[in-house]
Amino acid sequence: MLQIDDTSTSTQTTTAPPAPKLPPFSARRLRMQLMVDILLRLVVLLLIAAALVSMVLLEESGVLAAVILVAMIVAAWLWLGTVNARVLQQLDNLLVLIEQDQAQAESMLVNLMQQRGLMRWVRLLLYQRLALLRHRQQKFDEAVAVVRAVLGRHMGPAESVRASLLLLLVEADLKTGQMHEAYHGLCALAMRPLPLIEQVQRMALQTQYEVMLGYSHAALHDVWRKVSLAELMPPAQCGAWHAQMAKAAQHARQQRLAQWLNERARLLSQPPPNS
Amino acid sequence: MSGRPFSAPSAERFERHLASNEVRMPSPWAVRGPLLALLGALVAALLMPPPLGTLAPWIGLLAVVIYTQRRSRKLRRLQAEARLVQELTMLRHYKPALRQAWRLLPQVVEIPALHGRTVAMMSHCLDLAEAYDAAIVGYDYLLQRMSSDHPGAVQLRIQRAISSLFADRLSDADDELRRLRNSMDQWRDTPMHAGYLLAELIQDVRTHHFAEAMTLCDHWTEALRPLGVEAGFGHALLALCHHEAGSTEQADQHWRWAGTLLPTATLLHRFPELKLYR
Repeated sequence: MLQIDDTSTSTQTTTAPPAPKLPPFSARRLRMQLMVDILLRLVVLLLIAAALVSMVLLEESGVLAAVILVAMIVAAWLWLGTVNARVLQQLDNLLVLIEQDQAQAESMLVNLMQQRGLMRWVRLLLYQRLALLRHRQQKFDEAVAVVRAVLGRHMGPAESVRASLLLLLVEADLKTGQMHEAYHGLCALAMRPLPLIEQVQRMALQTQYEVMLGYSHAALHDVWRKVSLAELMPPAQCGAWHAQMAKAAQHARQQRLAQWLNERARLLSQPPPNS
Repeated sequence: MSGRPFSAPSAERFERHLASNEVRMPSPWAVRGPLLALLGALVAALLMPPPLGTLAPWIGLLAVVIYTQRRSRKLRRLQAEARLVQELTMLRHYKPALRQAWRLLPQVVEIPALHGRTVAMMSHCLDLAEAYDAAIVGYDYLLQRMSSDHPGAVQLRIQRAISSLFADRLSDADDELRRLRNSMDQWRDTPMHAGYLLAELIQDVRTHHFAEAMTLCDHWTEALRPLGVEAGFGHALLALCHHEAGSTEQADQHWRWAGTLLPTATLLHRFPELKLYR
């Protein structure tokens, strides 16, 4: 009995299909996918144009011809709209999955990436989610490659995620010690109007950059405004930011400020085990 | 923005505003309607003589395109307005946030997600404006429309309990906290658990059970940490409890931590009873 149970368990384990994974990012594949999407939409347009031309040539320019043409346009519009809407509806769920279950998020992305006929900006939003996933998986090199490929293109209605992509890029650059690239990312962010949450994230990254390079006075500039912005972060991040600022204050020999910031850091976040 | 002085709406007025802007599911005709109308135009075109029959399908198509574009533009504008309300609320600019949200609510009745978010923001702003009875109306409105085990519902019930304590509805708050007590273990180390502990702490201070308040938790610093700077309120109340128990040293330590996280004026404004300690 016991043996049979064991076998069945091992069979179950071996037969479970592995979660599908995306191949490593390649800019060429992104270009190809965008091209296929455009071609597919172009084919639909050409079919409609061909129908229009043939009706004119056959002198069928009456009411029936107009009705058929409009019906064809609506059908094509509905088909493409449904494909894109289905992907767009999944994007928010994907965001939640990236935070909670990255394996499932990746298999969902595999499915969504296989859709054809997507609008350019919908495809780029999918790649933005891929960059986020790789970033959470600590695969910073791939995340950076995806972000750069997406940022280098015209994003249309997806333009609103450009700031979050830049934030991702700066964070990855700081993690990998690419300070020069991080500086360019921060400059690009400084030139854009940002929503409040992204302003807070930019301020945190800028502080990290300045502290890493020892620009303590720059980090401490306008400190009280920065403190009130930092208070909008989740407690752990807020505590980490205070600890960085305390380092800058110490470096700038502002002992009282350093002490206050350190005390706040301790109250807001668990000190790392080795400190 | 008008120059009129701000006055928070009463609970009755807020209730009326919510009742007259009740959320409703978007009509399926809003999406299908234009397409069906276009279909109708196509069929009708077949019965019309040219050139009217030839033009009718194109006019119908143009009308549908314009309608769809206007609809999505309106949705984007409402989303931007809701985001502005959220940002103002986060920055504690509750007066302009509340004014904006009040005007926004009638426009989002057919967008349930935005409607819920707007009511939540209004309730939070009313809480900040110390209009606790009105805030409770908002929390109740949302709780009646959510499943009871949803994390958002737990958060709202904690906020409701805190508002009830500030509105001196002590038995109401006690009932709410008792209902929450059994489910709190699953939320350990989350802002919800910390919020619940703060609510219990406020309740014990308001009912002068200072000794009981101190025994609610063994490690207060860790337990309150998920609240962020708002943990300062908890430390201030603990300072008062220790002061009442005669342990001056611990009272001073908690007060120092409270002052590190929040300005003294904010602490005294929120909890006037702290003046006893100061």
